Amino acid sequence: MPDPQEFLLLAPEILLASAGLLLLLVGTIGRGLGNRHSAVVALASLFLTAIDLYAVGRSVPGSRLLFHGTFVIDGFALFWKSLILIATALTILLSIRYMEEAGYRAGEYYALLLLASSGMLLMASGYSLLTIWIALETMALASYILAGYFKRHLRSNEAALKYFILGALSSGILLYGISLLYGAAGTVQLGELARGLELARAQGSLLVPLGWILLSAGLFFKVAAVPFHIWTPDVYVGAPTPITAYLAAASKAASFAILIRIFYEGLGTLYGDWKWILAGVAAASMIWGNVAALIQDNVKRMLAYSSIAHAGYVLMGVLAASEIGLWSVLYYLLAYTFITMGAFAMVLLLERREYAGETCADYAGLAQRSPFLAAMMVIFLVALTGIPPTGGFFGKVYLFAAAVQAGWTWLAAVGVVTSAISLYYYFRIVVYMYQTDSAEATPVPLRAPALVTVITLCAVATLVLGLYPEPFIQIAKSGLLVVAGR
Amino acid sequence: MELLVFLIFAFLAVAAALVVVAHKNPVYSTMALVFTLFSVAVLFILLGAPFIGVLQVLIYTGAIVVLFLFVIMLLNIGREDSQIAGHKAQLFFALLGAVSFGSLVILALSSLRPKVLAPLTPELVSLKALASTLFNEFLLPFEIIGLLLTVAVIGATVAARRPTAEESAATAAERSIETKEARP
Amino acid sequence: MTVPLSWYLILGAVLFAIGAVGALTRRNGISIFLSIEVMLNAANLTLIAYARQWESHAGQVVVFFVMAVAAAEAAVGLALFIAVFRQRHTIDLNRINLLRW
Repeated sequence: MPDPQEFLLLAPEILLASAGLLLLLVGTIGRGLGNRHSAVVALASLFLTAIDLYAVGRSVPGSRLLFHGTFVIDGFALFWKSLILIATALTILLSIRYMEEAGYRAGEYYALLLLASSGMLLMASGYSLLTIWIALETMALASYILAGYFKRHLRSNEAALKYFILGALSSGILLYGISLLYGAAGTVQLGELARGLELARAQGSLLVPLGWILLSAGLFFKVAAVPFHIWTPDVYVGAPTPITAYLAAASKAASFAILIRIFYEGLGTLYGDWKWILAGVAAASMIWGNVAALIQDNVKRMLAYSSIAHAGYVLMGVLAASEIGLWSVLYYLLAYTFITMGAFAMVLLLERREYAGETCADYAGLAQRSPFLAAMMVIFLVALTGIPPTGGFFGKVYLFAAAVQAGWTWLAAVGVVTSAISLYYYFRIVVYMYQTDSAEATPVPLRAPALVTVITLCAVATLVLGLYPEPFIQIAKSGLLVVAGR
Repeated sequence: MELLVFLIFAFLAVAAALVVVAHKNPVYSTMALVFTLFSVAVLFILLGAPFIGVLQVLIYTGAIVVLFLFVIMLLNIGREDSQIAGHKAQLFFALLGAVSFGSLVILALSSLRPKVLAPLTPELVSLKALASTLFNEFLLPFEIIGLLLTVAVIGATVAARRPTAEESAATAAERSIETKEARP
Repeated sequence: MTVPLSWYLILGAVLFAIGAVGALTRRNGISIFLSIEVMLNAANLTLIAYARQWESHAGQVVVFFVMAVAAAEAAVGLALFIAVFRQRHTIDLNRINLLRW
């Protein structure tokens, strides 16, 4: 049996999952807690989890393997967990008003959100392919339901079904990859896997490349990289908007955490093999994501393609497999979380009746109606393009620098060119806001204080990340990993 | 003897799997899946995993497939009308499948592991040893499975439950809005 | 005579390929899901075969977990089918337009 003490270090995950179950339990009593109270309880539990996480981080200096090497606590895991908690908290703030207007039961919604997040926390710490896979499935199942939470809306239902079927397919492919890697190395624990795979590769076993190709196909699906991105636009458009933001920020962060962990620690010894595949996927994601975003009229759909493109930028940093490459990835995703949350909060604020008000034309004349909101939107769009003085700028500069340093100049060039292309579609909205007259002259009502708070908070964070990047780079540097093979 | 059992059930598994993916009627597909699952369970026992083989029959065939059948009957899904996606796409995917299939076979054959398996040891078949691996080495995944199943139960209830009175009250007003919106 | 390991692996590969072709070419949600179950079983067979080769229980334990995950997926997936069915009031799952680009 493992040391019972080890369960204490699992406290953040246990706490968050228990909070989710508590919300559910309370929801069965009478009319339940109601929307606002559920949200407050969820936020409080996230806060407690964050404190707990801090305590765990303090008590484990460096890195420590737990539960027979299936779970790890290190700076890398702690960084992602903090990011996931932030993204979840922002999602809940986005949801309050939305859920109130939509008139769906709120208890299960927040409970599923917390349970999905506890699955994500487990993903960030998983150190065995089995732990990672099961935690991933926990997150995925909760996400399918959340994407289809608006049951009266066909779009939401279809998004959930499509997400589910493609997700189950990708998880089957991932599992077959795991089975082949297990066959080649005789273990599913990442550290032993790296050694076993090196040995098997030296013997010329062809199971190794087949195994990791299938495994990475499953991972690319989760981070929405081309050519496994098909689900992204439809699910992003169909899902309730706070959930779209959640998928774009938290789910993406957790998926990148396991992608980096598996590629660096499990497949690190095969760096020479996988770098080409990763380069191809990164280039394809940047090109396709940005080009397809050009013709989108629906803002949610446009942001979906933009999130595919951003997955490509991040993969470029993963590919660099250097210290600067990794911390620039962490820094970039930190900035991206705030930027994307802010952008979706804007979409939410302009949405009139759940799904209406999503097209570019709905932004027409926003500068006259609400100069403050228009300015906030400009900050997010500027950051998404990667223009100073925003966090998006430094994130991209570091990613490109890391790629060039590691000898991937052509990939960095693709990144720069596609960023220039992205200028067009991001600034189309700016043009709509400032150059076009609106059909309605009334200012957008700032009806939801939580929503406005999120927008302001994200805009401030985006600017601070761009103006004073130094402390955040230090935070990102606390989450470094070493690539086994380099 | 072992060879004969393998050949019979391998053939049955493949034939039934073909029926699963090719039959137009989901009810027949599901019944064929039972045959595939059962044949694979026999192979599990042949490979020295009797407990997993029994679980396969009990859980997979007994519970999961029954759930499938139940839902298919409930929704009364009959034959598909147009399951062919258009010739080009289907041809492409079929070719992709065939190529990956061929390469998989070649790759599996060319793996440099010993071709003949060692005889079964009591240690490998022992349920006690399996349980000890499960509750020591894989204790954490086992706990997470508990979380996963809880999420699944909650999720299934949320997704399949009928809208409550308040929820359906709001529906009528919204439906008129929704029909006006063109799907993207 | 004993059966060589590679035969089990080839059988696993064949089942996986059949399932993959089915999942990619069928248009009916339930049929796609059934094909995915075939794929999961191919992975299970491969895992058990390798567990025999490595003489370790890890592969068997993984299969144990795969069954639990498959059950969970089936519950959630079929619930989603029911939810969509309620909305459309039709049995025609073909027009859900999965895999639309």
